[in-house]
Amino acid sequence: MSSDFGALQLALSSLYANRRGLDTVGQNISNANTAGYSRQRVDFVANSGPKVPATFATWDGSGAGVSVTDVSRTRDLYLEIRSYIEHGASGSMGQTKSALSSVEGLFNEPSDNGIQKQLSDFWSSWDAVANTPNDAGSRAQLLQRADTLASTFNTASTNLDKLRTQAISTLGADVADVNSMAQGVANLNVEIQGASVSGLAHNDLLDQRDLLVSKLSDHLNVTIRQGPNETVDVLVNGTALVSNDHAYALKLDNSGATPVVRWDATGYPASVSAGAMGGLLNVANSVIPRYQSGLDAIATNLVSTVNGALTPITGSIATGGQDLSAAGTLQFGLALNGTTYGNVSVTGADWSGATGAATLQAALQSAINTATGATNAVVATVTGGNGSPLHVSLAGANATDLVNVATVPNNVGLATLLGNTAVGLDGVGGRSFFTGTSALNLALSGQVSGNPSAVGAAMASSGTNDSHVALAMAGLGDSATGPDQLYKTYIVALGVEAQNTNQRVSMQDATTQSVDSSRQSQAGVNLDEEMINMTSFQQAYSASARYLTAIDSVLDALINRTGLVGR
Amino acid sequence: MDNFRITQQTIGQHTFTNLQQSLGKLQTLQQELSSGKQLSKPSDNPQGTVAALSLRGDLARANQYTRNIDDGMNWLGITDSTLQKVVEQTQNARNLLIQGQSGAIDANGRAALATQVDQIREGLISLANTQYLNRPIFGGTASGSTAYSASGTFQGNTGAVTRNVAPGATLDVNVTGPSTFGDDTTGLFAALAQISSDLRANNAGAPLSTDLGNLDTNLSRVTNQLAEVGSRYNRLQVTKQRIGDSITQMTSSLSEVEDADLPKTIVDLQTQEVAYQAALAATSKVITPSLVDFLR
Repeated sequence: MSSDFGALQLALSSLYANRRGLDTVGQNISNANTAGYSRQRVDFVANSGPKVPATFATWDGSGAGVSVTDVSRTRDLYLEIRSYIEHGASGSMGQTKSALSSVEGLFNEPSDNGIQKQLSDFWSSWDAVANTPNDAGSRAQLLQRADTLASTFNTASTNLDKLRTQAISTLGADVADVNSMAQGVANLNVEIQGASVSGLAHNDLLDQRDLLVSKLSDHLNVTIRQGPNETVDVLVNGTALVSNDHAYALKLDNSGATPVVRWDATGYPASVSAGAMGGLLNVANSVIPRYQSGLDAIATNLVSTVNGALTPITGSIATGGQDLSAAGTLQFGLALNGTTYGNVSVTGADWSGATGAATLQAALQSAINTATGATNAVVATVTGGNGSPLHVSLAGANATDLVNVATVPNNVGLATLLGNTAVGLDGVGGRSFFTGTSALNLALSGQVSGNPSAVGAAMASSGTNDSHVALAMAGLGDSATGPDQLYKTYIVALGVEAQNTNQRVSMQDATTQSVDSSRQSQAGVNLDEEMINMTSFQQAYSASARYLTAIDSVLDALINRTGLVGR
Repeated sequence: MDNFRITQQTIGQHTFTNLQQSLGKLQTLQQELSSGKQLSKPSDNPQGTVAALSLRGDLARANQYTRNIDDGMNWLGITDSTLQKVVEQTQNARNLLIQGQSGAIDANGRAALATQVDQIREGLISLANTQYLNRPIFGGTASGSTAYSASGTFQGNTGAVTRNVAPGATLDVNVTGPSTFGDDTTGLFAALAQISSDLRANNAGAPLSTDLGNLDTNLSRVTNQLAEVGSRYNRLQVTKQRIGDSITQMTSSLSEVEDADLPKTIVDLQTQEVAYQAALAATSKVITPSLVDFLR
């Protein structure tokens, strides 16, 4: 048997509940555009009557109104975690994409001022020198273009390095960001725990914390683990970045050759593989170094190709059934590292036969030793003889020694023997053209820089107006193993990688957006829905008020108008 | 679409992304139109970049070949005109020699003829020292500025002056002194000196006949060289023509790879503009209203 006054309580519970509903609608609408806000929903439960039977207290009513058990956030934890993963991937690829795009811009190909064009100009200049070997103008132009080419390599290398430095400093800023966000999550965990234990409303704290974790996922690969009292732990590849109320700081260790992100407390490397930080690490440790070393390979190929065609002081006499007793006296001017040692002479002898080459080698070496003193810094090597071509080469004892050989006029013996050595207009051979071991330090050799007539265009045996060396050099641009071909391959590989990355980024962005949409679909505020809710709560509230009026008039009738019979 | 809720924020974000994509396409097309290039960075089209880089390199090479050929043709042209003068002068000397053989001429007349032969010889030596860009054209690759001394001794060498004229192909553009004028003992200058001395010695008979034979040998050597020079000149001309053709071909290929197809790009741009405007118009209709506007 229900109480008449109980109906008043029922009406009151409905008024309360629907007011609560309206409040929640208001909060939802207010935060329709708040980042990270999760739509809230009021959980109503119909109150039933007492379930414990008692003497004389049977319940035959329909219920005791409504109560609000909770105001819950509508979120899907699975979608949240997927969103962290996808955001991490997007952040990482975005960094690679922008780095590759910068590298592309740096080389500016295909164009009329890229390295390709400068290489073409360089080889063409050799043709111009070949056409007019006695003209200082064409030689000066060759040196000018070679210098431009070298400094373009230098600039490209410097710019690549700048890109890398930029990535590392951005990484440093990211680490600081991540540390402060991790601390923020830890602080919120403390507040949430307090609020949760004391039963206070804390949905908005949860939203703030989840937003921070979501922002963390843009920076690095994070996953979450639910802790007690609605706290979460944030993990980087299984290691805690945030554990309940404690945040573990990261630091950027830039002391080694490659930057490493470490845990500040332990010094162990952190497994950062995604997000902006993962992307920047990839850019600084893999992408840029790869293009840097590719560029270095092209530069060193250029050095070895050009110097290889110029520098070696070698010569050979093709002989068949030779009697080299008539080869005459070998005579040449020798200079080592700029010091001139006058003329080296080897008196004619019979250099044929099995011991002929050894005799010549010994004689040459001894003559060179006499000229250079006891230092013995120039090494003569003689091979062949006894029917096969006699081959002589001269080199410094150290790889860095520069040996110069000048022909002594009218010396047929040397001219024939060192005939293929490239010599300049001054008849001096053995000069290198480029120096350098990387794109950064590629430069014109000091032996030709500022000295056009030193450029070796002629073969020692053919007179200084000869241009066979220059002709051969001009043809090196077409070499299948030369710098031009390497550079083409390099640029095309860059293009393919950049294109692939762009496509992958578009696909990843689409995926990320679709996950975000799903998340929004769960957690976002739809104004239409809120309007409908608002209308229903408002109407339910009005109806409850009307019900209260009805009960009131029922009681009025009972109290004021009954018991008047017989009055 | 069972329970996939759409929220105002989702619509906003989607709309923004789509408008961005549309605007991005517009920008790409605008860039293609304003630069005239559809290939502005390697990732636009890596395969096209291979072609563009190769074509650019080959074009630069071909242009250099053309310059080399022009230079070679100049060299051969000067050689040709010099040799024609040499033939002319040598024929003059031959006529003088034939006059000298005549019995109607006395010792004084022969001495006068000898003087003329000497002058022709000097003229020929100076022709043999003809220079192109400060280099004696008959001196080979030697460093001196003359091919022959005043006395007619060869001072150069027999090195080849070579030009790169096509990929992997070279052509020697010089003819050397000895192959044109013969050696120092039996060559043209020695023969003329002998004629002069025989005329002065008033030898009308056998010596002058021998001299005529020697002179004819030398003359035919020069005319042979003249024919050789002419044929090389023709070869260069043909090569130049061929390289010119391939330059035209490569330029059009390069343009095909790199340049924007204007009519197509303009049409694409128009289409894209219409699409963008349509998207804007649709957005303005979709994004504004909600139930709020209709609940009174």
